[in-house]
Amino acid sequence: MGPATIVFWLASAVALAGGLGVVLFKEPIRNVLSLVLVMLSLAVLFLLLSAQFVFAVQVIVYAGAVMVLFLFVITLLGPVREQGTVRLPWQIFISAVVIAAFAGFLVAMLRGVSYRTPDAADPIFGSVQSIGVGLFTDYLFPFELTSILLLVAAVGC
Amino acid sequence: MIAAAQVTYTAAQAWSDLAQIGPIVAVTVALLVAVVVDLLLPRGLRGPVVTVIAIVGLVSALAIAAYRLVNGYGGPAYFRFVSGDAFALFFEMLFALIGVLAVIVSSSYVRRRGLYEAELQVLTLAAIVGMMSLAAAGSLVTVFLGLELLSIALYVSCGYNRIELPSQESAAKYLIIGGFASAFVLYGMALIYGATGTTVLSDIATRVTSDSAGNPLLLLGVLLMGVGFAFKVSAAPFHMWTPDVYQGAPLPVTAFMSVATKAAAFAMILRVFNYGLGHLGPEWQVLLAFTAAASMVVGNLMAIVQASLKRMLAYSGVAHAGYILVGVLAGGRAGVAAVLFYLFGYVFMNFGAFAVVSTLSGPAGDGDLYEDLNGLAYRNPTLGVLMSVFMLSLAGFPPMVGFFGKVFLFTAGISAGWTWLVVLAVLTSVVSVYYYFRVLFHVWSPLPEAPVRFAFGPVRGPVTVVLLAGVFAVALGPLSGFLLQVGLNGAAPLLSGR
Amino acid sequence: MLSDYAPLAIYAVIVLAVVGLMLTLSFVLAPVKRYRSKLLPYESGIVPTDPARKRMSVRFYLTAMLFIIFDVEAVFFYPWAVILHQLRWYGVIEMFVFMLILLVALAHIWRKGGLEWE
Repeated sequence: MGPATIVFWLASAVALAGGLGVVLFKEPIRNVLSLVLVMLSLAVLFLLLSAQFVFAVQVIVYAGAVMVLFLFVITLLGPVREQGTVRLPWQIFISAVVIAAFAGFLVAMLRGVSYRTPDAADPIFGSVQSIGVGLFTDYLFPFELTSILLLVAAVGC
Repeated sequence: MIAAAQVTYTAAQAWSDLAQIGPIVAVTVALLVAVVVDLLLPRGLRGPVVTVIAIVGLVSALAIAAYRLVNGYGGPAYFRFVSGDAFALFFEMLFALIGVLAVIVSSSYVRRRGLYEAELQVLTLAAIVGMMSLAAAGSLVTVFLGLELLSIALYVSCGYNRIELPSQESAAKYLIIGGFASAFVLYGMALIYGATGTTVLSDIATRVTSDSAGNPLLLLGVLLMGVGFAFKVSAAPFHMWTPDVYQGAPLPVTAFMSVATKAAAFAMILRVFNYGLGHLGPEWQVLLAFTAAASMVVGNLMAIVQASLKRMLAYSGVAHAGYILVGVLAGGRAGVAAVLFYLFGYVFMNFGAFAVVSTLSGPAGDGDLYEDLNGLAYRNPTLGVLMSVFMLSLAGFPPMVGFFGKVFLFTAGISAGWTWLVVLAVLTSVVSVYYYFRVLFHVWSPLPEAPVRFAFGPVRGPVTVVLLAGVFAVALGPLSGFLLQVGLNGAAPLLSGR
Repeated sequence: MLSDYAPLAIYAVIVLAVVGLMLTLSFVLAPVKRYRSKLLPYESGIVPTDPARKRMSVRFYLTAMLFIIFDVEAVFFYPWAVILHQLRWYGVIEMFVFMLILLVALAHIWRKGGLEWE
């Protein structure tokens, strides 16, 4: 087990723990902070894949800006503890069954899956250069479409 | 030091790429001009001017698309991330037409309801840009961005009537369910990318062969994308949001959404499933066959018990999604052409029906109960007769376009071996006659003694739209041969790859 | 390779250690005196007037949203600037279109009073 594998398992464990925290904490602020944890550990996973630029963007935009937005939403609502009384009586049981079924399904499907051999990465993979070249040549149309998406967000808010 | 990647892109290439997405560019320019005009003109002029700009943009998009379709040069552009082929052009014309109708209806509706006009038109234009990109998509990335663009514009439009609680409820429900569906689609796309190593649909089509059917990554990707797509076309059992969202949203938005989103989502399904993952047909067909059957049964049965016209039309939309899926399942030239034909006809009959309902709304709210239609044929004979045309067409009666659409869908279904599904479709169509005729019963009932809830205000715009839609719905019957030819032409790019 | 990021890992470990150390030390070493002015949120500062748990204006949310929109825009400039010399005029035009669309968005927000705080 090389250091990369250790980092992978650590980051994945932290991400999963954060995900559980998002769902399980009753205090909304803690949910958001758990989500920050998820975002940060995902950033580490991106770094493991040599995607430096995506790592930086993940930290700056997601763990930074988007989470600030989430925090504002929560302060907007007022930091009220979530009430657990409106649950349907069978809800926990049913959701447990569905989760177990879906998880079992996923495990059954993905067991023994033969992954594609990764394409040989070119030396500048993941760097700002390669992202830039991709973004402004191959991905030009989606890139410009993004600006219209942002325009709609601005008009809508 | 890092080697510099070469970037070669000539001016000639740039112009040809731009021409391929001409209709999208036209609508985008109209969108930008509309936003700026909305900021600069004096208050009273903004609404009408923005509406005119929107119509001009959409009509020029229509003209560009028609010109390119007739002259028949179209193909991939922008490194195959988008395409200007006949399939894209067909849908671009369709969306431009719906857009014109929607803009006219909205203009009159927002004035009667005292809402701000310009921004709704801007949002409609943005949604159309998204839909056109979706229909023209050559890559999963474009598919997703188009999907998000149209969804986000529609989330905002649904909550456009901010002071009304149902409108807010509609927007909130649509946002949450829509976000959920988008997440499914994205997850599925990620798995497809993981299995094939590309997001470009034509590459996926060549890399996914019949013997990759055993690859669990692909299967999961198909399953997750299928669920997301079913949400978007509001097919059962993922249709639960439809009635609430349709009921709460402002009427022109509902009308636009019910036809345009459906057409865009079917364009996406055809592009991704029939073209990109064509070799996995047996796998996704199982999924879609179940969805189609459930949609037909649930949609038609639930439509019977509704008291609100909006909700009835929402469930009828679920049922129609089921019928159209038969064509998707049939696939091939005949199947895809039947889907295109049906979508084109469906747009006019369903939009026309909603436009009639929208004329019933006044400052106090929307009139969407069956009783509000009482005596419509005598109060306004044009609307009454055309509403009957739309209902007969939706029910699939012979001279109407809805009849030919169903014939094409079902024959394609039978020749592809989906006999049980077609039998179910015909049976449920018979059920649907009941609730469409209930509308006719109210429209042709004698004038009510009590004063009707909504008198007709300044509704010239919607009446024009209803007339237009009516003319199309009637005329497309005899012209169905021509339209089917256009559909077959549009289907060709999806099949040439194989 | 992964070893390239070793300084980053060391840095992260040091940060965590310092923060942990500071918190632990002040928890262990600081004398505990509980009386009123010590327990105020801002010791020897301004006396708080409102409870901390109150709702905030929706303006904060809108501002944060606008911030994200233009934050995302700014992120795209970085790779663009790095490879502009390869893209030449083509890149300038691309970014011009992108910026133009977002300038329209900014103008919209400005004129509609999205940047005001009353």
